[in-house]
Amino acid sequence: MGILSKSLIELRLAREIGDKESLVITPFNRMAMDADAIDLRLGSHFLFPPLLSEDAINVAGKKSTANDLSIHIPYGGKLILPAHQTVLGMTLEFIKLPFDLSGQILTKSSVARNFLVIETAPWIHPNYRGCLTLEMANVSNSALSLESGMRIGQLIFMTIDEPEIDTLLSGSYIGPVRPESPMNLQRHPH
Amino acid sequence: MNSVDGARHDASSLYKFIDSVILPCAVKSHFSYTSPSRKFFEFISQLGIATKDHVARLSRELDAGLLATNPNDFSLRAQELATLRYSWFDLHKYIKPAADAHTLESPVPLVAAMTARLRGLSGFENVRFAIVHTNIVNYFQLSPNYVRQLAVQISKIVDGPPIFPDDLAIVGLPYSQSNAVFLNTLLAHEMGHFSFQKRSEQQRLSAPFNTIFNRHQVASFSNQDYVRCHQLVVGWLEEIYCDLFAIRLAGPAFSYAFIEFFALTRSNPPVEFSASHPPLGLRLREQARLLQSSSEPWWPSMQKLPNHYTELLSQTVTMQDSEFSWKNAINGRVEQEALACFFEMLDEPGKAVQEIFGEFDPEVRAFSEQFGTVMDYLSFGVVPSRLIIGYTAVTPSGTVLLNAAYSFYLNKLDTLLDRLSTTDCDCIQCRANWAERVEMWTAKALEDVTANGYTLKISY
Repeated sequence: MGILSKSLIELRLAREIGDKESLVITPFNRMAMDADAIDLRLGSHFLFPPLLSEDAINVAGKKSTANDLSIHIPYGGKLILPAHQTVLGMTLEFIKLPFDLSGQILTKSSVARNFLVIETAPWIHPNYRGCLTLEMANVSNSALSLESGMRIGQLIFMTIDEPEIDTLLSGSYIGPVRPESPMNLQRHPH
Repeated sequence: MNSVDGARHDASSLYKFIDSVILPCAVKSHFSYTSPSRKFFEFISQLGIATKDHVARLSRELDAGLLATNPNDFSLRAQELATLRYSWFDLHKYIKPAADAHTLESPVPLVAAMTARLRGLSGFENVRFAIVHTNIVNYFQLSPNYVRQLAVQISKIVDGPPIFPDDLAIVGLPYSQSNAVFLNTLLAHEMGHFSFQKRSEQQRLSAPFNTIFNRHQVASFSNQDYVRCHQLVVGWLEEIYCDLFAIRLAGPAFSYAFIEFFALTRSNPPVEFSASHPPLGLRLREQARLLQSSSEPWWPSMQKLPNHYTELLSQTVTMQDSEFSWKNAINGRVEQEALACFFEMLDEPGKAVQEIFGEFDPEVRAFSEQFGTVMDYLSFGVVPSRLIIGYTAVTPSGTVLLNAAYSFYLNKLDTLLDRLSTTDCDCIQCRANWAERVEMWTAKALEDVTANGYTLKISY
């Protein structure tokens, strides 16, 4: 396993979509690339968790989405996240990984130093496609102002030893562009 | 209660009413509305404040006993209050629907893409569209002239009312379609109505109408008959104009949305004129003719993507004028003359639309070169806002994206479903879920190529 350099990332980005080794990052800004990573920006859609109408959320069970609160903050607008509050957000960038790469999203250090945690499930599997869900938590004692379009995280890519070629798309979340509650796209019962 | 007390009560009641009407406009500075919506709220708010100031002044005059001594003045002011109340009743209809249409419930990327294209045309550089929801399953354009006239009516009474912003149009869509992309392409037709009014096309059509009407020498027609005939012909031509405008603005996606919305594939398209609209079959025929016959037509690319919608478009092209008729024969003399004039003038809308957009459509060539790649991206479940074609990155235009994605939805959805290990059935629910997801990817792509840049550049 090795981490992809800037030039290798660019080579992958230049491959056509039908190429099994193609990598997609869109919208793409070359200025956002570091030697071994690319900056990701905060998207426009947010999902606030519901106020509880029961004793606790059953994490293993199917969750009701009826009381989720969707928010849209147009590009350049601001979302105020109160102290000790959580919200689901998305990256502005839509990512498609090839069969032989994994990804990991890291919080930008300047964001982390404001005590904003953006990711608790940072690993991205091969063949994943979609905007990346950010499980954002303000763990500071102050409200934080977040701007849609601000740089919020960094994505690094790692090659996999002996990857399996799987032409089918699988996983619970395929191609999300807005934050989704758990299990939204599970196969429905017949 | 004497008449002064009654007038004071009426003034207070109107003041309270306006207060409650403009309450939703308090959100006007909220960033969850597009700039045109905020402009509309600002206008209503300022109009409300000017009206309230006037009513408050009137109340002070009543308190001071200035009006009670002059019965004529008193009666005039009472009439003014009634006029203001009824003007605000009219405005009332559009405020909550505009407040409901915030960016989460509006097709912002689609409207931004179409607006951006329109702004590139001469005479439309500053146009912007505020969106409102409707309860009915239909689309409409609220004439800026109508709102402007209401404001003028109010301005005759109150001091310093705001002027309705130039180039601000208000278009309505069914609330259920909120942020959908494909069906909401029908908004392009409503933008056509705005263009028709802005360019005073009605007046431009009057000259050829009069020439044809006079040539027909319908001596027995009264002035009322003439007016009715003119009204019918211009009204029908306006609808054709808006359809052709929509195709030049949005491409064949407009015709696809038109067919889908009116469910025209289920039976033969209607062939009867109504007082307000030409028959759907005729409208579709004119759309198909434009798609086939312009200098650089969409049709060759569309033929590479055959489906039951393009098949219907092919069929309607061959329909003859004689197949279309007035819906009933009662008192049909004027209507028959209107039909004769209408068919003689049927080229006029196309000419007027070509004046705006020019002869060639650069989007047609871009579509023919890129639609296959856009569809490939969608079949792999990827947002197609940055295409790699021959190792080169290409950013498709909003029009290319919209039309390629709509074609994918009509022709190639199965190529996506076949790639999913989670969907092993072909039931209606699965198809609907994935069709919705394709629409979301299209909206995201439109946002990537248009809306985000648009937000920064011109504060949409």
